[in-house]
Amino acid sequence: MTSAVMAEVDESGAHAIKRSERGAEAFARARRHSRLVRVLKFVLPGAAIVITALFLGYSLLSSAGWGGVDLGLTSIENGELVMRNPSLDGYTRENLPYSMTAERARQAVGDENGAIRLEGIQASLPLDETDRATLTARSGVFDRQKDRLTLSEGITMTTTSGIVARLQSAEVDIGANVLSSDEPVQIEMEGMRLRADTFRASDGGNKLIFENRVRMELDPATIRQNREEESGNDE
Amino acid sequence: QEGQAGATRLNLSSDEPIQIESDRFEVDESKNIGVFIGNVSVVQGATLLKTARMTVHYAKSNGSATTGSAQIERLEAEGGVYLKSEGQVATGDRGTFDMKTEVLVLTGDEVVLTEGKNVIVGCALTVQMKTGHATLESCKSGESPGRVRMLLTPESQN
Repeated sequence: MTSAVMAEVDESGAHAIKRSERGAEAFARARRHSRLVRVLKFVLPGAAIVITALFLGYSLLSSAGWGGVDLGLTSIENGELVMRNPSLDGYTRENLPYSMTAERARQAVGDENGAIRLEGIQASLPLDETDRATLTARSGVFDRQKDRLTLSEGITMTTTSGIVARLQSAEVDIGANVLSSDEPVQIEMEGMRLRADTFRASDGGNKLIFENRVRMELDPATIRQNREEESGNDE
Repeated sequence: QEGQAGATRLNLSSDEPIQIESDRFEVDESKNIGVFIGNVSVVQGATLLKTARMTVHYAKSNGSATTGSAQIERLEAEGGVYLKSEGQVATGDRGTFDMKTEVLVLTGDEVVLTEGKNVIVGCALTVQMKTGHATLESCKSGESPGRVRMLLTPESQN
């Protein structure tokens, strides 16, 4: 039997590393998750800003020229001004339509600066010329003093490009344009799922930070099949 | 298949799902990067990659009419790289994978490729993903300049 041998292999020692024919695909798989960048950059912060517009629209009753503010049926119930189905629609800077409704908005009477409580929020927001996002949140509180919006009891956002984001709650610091959540977040798009225990979007959505047990799953087959459909051959 | 003793099989691909885990994942749109930070592990079937930090570089998205995603140009792993695939282990300090050329390069003061008892040490392991062809380059400096050190032991002569 040969003894242990220290063999010198010349500089270009080569070793055949076999791979099945889809060898490089393994690393190409993550390509789709980059689309996450586009969505979270626009939609989550965008949603927050539009939701805020709904409330500003509500409290700036008198100002004209604020998109279509329909305050729905307003009534006073046990010391609270209650608006049913308030809605707001308007156009973004890129002249793309957005709309927002809530089943109910409530604010203590005589306390214009008091927090506005909302139930059943539904928003439709433009992502770009072709894609839109729909956002729903079961409830939210808009604190105008602190310029903060808190959405809770489950937020779901779906886009026409097939992205679904689920948050349990979200805090929006409107002044600092920071949106964050210290509860688990899940984002899915064709062939990719990203989960983390906390999430923060800052710098106008340019920076997205997922933390604590970040897990991303990529499904090669779905990703490749979608890529072939969409791009033919964009490589 | 040249008659290299102890040919290594680094089987990297299949349709199996890939799991990437880390402590933190940061996406910075302005720099077009996504960075997995802290205990980064990438698992696909029997292949496992571990590193401290993995940066995904996206090409500038051309903002085409469709929501064409920014294409991934290159992955970079830093802070030590451990790559295991069915009996082979490769370790180094840094690793890069270029999506276009499909070339994986593992570099470091000591890049070690191990299969069973076979240990090969050099300074750069380059793997052509398309062909699976790998080249382990020697270290210019260090105690055995110009030579790749390779240790063969009897049982491995299968």
